[in-house]
Amino acid sequence: MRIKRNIARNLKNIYWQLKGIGIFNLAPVLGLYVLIPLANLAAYGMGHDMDYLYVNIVKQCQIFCPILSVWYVIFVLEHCIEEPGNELLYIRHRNKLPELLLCYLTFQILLLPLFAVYTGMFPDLWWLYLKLCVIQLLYLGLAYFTAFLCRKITISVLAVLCYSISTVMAATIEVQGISYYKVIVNQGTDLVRELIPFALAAGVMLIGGCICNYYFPMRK
Amino acid sequence: MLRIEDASKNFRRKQVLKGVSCEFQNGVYGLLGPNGAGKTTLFRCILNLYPYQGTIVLDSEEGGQIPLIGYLPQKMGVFPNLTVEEQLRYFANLKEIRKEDVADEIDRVLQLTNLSEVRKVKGRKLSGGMVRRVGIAQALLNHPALIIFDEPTTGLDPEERMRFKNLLREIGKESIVLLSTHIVEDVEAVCDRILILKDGCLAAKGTQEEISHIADGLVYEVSKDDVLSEDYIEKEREADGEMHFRILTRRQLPDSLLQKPNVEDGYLCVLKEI
Repeated sequence: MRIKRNIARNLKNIYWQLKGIGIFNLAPVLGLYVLIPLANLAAYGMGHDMDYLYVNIVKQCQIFCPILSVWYVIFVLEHCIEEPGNELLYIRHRNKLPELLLCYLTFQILLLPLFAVYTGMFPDLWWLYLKLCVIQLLYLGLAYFTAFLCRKITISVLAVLCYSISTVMAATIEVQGISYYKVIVNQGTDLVRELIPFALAAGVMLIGGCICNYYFPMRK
Repeated sequence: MLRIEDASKNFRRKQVLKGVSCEFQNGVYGLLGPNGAGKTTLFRCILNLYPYQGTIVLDSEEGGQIPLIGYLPQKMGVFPNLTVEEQLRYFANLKEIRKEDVADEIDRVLQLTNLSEVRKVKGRKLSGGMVRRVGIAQALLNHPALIIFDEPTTGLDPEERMRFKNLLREIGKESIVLLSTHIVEDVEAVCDRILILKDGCLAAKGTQEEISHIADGLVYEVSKDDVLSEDYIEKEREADGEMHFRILTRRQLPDSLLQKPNVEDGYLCVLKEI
């Protein structure tokens, strides 16, 4: 009962916070349902080749989805960290992770219709959806940890952008380790093996974020 | 009742609060002190935002439990795209007010803060004074047992300040109201009791009369020629083409120059150690 009440409260908090940012809350929707499909259509229009379209979907999703997934998270974090009088937000509930996880889940739900279409064309793209779920959790952890550690949302945004750019660059020069960006989608145990380091990194970031979040009001 | 016993707080090596002890019953309490005296730190300890040494208990609950506290921080922002009513709905949700009580509570605080007419106005269109009133309104939501106002009158116009002072008197009948300010006039107008913080210590506490009495026999009005460097000049005014100075001094001057002390005189005596 208490969990249900807390979820309802956190969802309402997110609702008001996202309503408060006005038209900016449309960016992930536009990104997912305008930007990525247009890029896919352009790719298909260039060659009328389904293989080329498949590769394009895999590439575009890995580039844009993780960044778009932290869009709401960044705005919620900005409100918690840089808003004047933000101490009000820490009086009753200090931990902001539940709200951020709900933002993450909201984005995963937004992503579902897009992947329903993709898997209608290429059934194995469900594996890409699973991969993105883990990678987006890593992005959430990175944004959460850096924002509360540095107490500056710009640093958090820069960290996310730098990681996103470096992961694409690292893939092009074939540096393994930090990059999740691949043109083929692993399946089954191969995918699990590929994602374990990213899931572990996400866990570490989230725990680090929780610790910095706890001490945040005390450091003001 | 709010009870503070030997509350201390260090920031690294600097001790910002030094063993503050006091008790509060329902009423309006003014916390006076210069910048850096520890007023906001004391508030944040009460709100359990800072860890502290000592004991802070509200209504027999330990400090970790925060029953019903309303707080207005020194600076407060609003969402530019939410109306006044929506901002309060957001705060009502943060305070976990029951769904069925939210509308009535919002109506009540909007009326108290004279914001009913702008309830549908968006945050970006509010003036600084109105934002302050939204802050006051959110602090009053859900009838808190303790309400803390940190510099509440900043940005309010004279009419709103007067209205706010009347409001403070009303809510002080049912709640403990702690008011931090450096405007002595505000404290004089509404506070039942006054506490003076200096360098993290509770330097004085008492009713308005008791604080004023600290300056008994120390306040004089003299002409320019009678002022010495050791005197503390509180105010100056021109009368009959001549400058007159209200001073605080330990010197013995003619009784004819002696003035009746007020809260500000008492406060300055404590602050300047006269």
